[in-house]
Amino acid sequence: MKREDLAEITKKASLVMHDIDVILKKGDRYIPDLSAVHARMGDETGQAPDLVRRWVKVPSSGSSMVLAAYIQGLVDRDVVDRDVLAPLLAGRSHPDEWDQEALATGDIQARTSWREILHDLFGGRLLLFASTLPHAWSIGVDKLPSPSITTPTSEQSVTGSNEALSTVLGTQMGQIRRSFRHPGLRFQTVTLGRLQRTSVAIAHLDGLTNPALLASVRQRLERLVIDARPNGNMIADLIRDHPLSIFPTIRTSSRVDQACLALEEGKVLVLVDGDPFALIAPAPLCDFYRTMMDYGTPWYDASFVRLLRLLAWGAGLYLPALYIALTQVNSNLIPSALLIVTVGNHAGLPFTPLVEVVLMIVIIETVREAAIRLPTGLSTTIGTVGAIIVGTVVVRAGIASPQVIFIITLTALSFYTTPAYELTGTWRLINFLLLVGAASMGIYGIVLVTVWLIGTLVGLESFGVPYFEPLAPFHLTDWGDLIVRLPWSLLRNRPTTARPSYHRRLGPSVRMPDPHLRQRP
Amino acid sequence: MTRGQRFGLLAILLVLLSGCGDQRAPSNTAIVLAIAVSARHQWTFLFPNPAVTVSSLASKASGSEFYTISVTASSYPAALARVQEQSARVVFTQDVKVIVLGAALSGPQVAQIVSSMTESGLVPARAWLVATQASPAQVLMHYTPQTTVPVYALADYFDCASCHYTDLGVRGWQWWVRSMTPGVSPVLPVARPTATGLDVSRLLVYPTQGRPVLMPAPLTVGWAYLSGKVHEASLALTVDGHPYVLSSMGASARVRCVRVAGTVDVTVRMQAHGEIANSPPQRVLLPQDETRVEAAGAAALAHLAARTISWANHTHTDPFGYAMQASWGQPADVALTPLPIRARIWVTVRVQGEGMNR
Repeated sequence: MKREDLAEITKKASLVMHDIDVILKKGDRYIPDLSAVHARMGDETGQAPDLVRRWVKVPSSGSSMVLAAYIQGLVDRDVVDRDVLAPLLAGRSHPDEWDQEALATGDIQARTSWREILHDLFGGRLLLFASTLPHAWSIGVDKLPSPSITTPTSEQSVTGSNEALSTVLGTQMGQIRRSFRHPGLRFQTVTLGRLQRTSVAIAHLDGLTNPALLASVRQRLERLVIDARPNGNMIADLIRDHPLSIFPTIRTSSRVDQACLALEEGKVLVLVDGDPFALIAPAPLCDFYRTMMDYGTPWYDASFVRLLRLLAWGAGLYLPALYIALTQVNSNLIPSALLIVTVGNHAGLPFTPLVEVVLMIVIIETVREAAIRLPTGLSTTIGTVGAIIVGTVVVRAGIASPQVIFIITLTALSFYTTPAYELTGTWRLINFLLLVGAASMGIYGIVLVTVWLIGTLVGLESFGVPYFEPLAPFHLTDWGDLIVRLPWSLLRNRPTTARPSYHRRLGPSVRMPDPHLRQRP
Repeated sequence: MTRGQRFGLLAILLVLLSGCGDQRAPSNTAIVLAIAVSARHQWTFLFPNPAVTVSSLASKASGSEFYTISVTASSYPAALARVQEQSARVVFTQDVKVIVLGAALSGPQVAQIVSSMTESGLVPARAWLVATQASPAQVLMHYTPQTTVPVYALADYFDCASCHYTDLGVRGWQWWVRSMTPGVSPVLPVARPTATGLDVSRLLVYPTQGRPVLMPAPLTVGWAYLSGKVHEASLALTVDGHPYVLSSMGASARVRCVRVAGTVDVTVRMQAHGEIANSPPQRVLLPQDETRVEAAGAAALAHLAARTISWANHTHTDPFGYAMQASWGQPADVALTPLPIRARIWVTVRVQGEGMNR
């Protein structure tokens, strides 16, 4: 062995010994040496300026002092002063009994490890250390922000409560709990994020939700290793099936009633602290076309709107591609009168219909993106003015024909009839694919892309549920709430999508009493 | 073969087998709406003016909505090639609506033209065939204020079958089938341009041999009654010295045809119906009046039908296809069309009640 190698080994051994020494000195087990505790808290927080460490002389501790520590800004100072410090200074109970006698707060827990202590400190809790205590008291005095309950921004409904989920997890759970008021509603919490610690709650209805589904969601969440969580969509993207697919396999909703309906159907909710959108699993494609308004309006109205939505989806997806196919490739399929008008409209225009359509799509998307980014007041103006001016000028400038303007306008409007925003982008991409197929192979190309699309949809799953259900596999029982919504008296069973433990949703059909004017005395 | 190679091969085959490579965008095509052929092998192709749009129609002078290219050629393929030579765009014939033929063209000549067009696969067999005694090119460009681009007047005339009391329209495939079938003389409507529109009231009947024969207008109506091609017709009658008019006439005929000793024995049972639209003034119609009108109408129709069949015998034609029906299922051992027709005709007319004087 060379001398250099020996020196290297010696150096590494000394480093290991140093680490062992640090571990021994800074062990995870809490030792009631208050001076050391005071110093260690400073070390662990990097001498954080918002760390408050206060020595308190409590009568029950005799001559020794008690150390109180908390992070300023995370705790409610009034609660600390009124419900913790004041009773301590006035009381005479032994530190062992503070949780039973002295303190007026409800949430008090004993902590014996530094990992728990630090976690609670940054979780907004007050820590109390006494030299006669083998553990530290962790007291829940965290200051919950009280955001106002707002209306959903992207899922407006004419009828119903229109209550949006809060951004605070505790409030979210309260909102859902208030809707159910049933002991079967269960929340399981998981903390995610190594740097940005985020509480995530899994909500389900015990006895109804399929236990395998619940276990699957929990396992996926627990296996997540992330540093930070920008929003719930990141978590959704990480736990969903087919993360590379352009089709969303998990649904998000900020509506309280939508979240409650999902629970009532046996689905699982994932609530993320800081994000007002609840994640709903499983979420087959057809679920994205159900809105709460469908259940808040009469069945005939809801059915008509759903049919209209289906029609708009078809128009939005296929209209530009059909236009390209019929005007560039399969012009023999157009009635001659329409063909002559189309040729007339194209006379003098420099671009092919494909280029015109792509240009118009780019313009429309640009206007849309600008309208989203601008303040609300400006966005409406920019959107309207942009659409009018662009539409007029583009025709006059000879860049696009009036037919293309009509088709792209109808397409853009049709896309936004999709109730779920996350699916809008998907259909826009499919639309481009159809355009390419139509421009290269006409109707045949559209058929090819459609075959691929159906194949893809049939192959997808959402938490074990086939994504194209109940179309394929065919479930006739779920068709009552698919293209149309049958009257409630015919919808006595809940959808089979989430494979709930039992399907019956409504009681047996009963004959209603006669009107009072017909009743015999 | 690896999975990638298989996928690549499939993708290439899907594109190559689509057959879309020779398709042209409408902006590069010259759409042919109608073709006229004269007996002198003059071919005229009618195109819509590509500069015509819905918004520019008001400012366009009449006649500028279409333009024509005329060539002389012995056959359709040659004519198409010459028109293509003169056109900057690809000549697109898959939307041909009407083919106007000179009345001087014989049956075999028309058959050859229709066959060559349909065999090319590029001219739709559903195009209307029209004969004319005037210049075919003149009929082609005949302007009527009743229609405007993108509708072509001549095609629109025949497309609206219920607009005329006799449905004389013949599509390319119908003429082709009749010309190829023994025992029936194919017919074509004859179009005559007038100052305000088109007069289509006569038929051109193509015998097996020789020049086509022009059927007089009244007999064309008789042909329509016998063929069940009458809608909303009217019939003027004189009953007991009083004028009557039966309107909204319709008719259906049941025909039984038997070949008997070199003749075609035909039994026609025609049932017609209509309404009394014009009756003598100050006269309340009684049931017996209606019966007399019905009898008179039946007699008039029977006479008209008999005259029409007689004309067919006289011209050695069979525009009804009676010989074909009589020989159905039998070997065509003799030429069927010149066979004389011996007809027995029964007509009943039913007056349908309507109006205040009933």
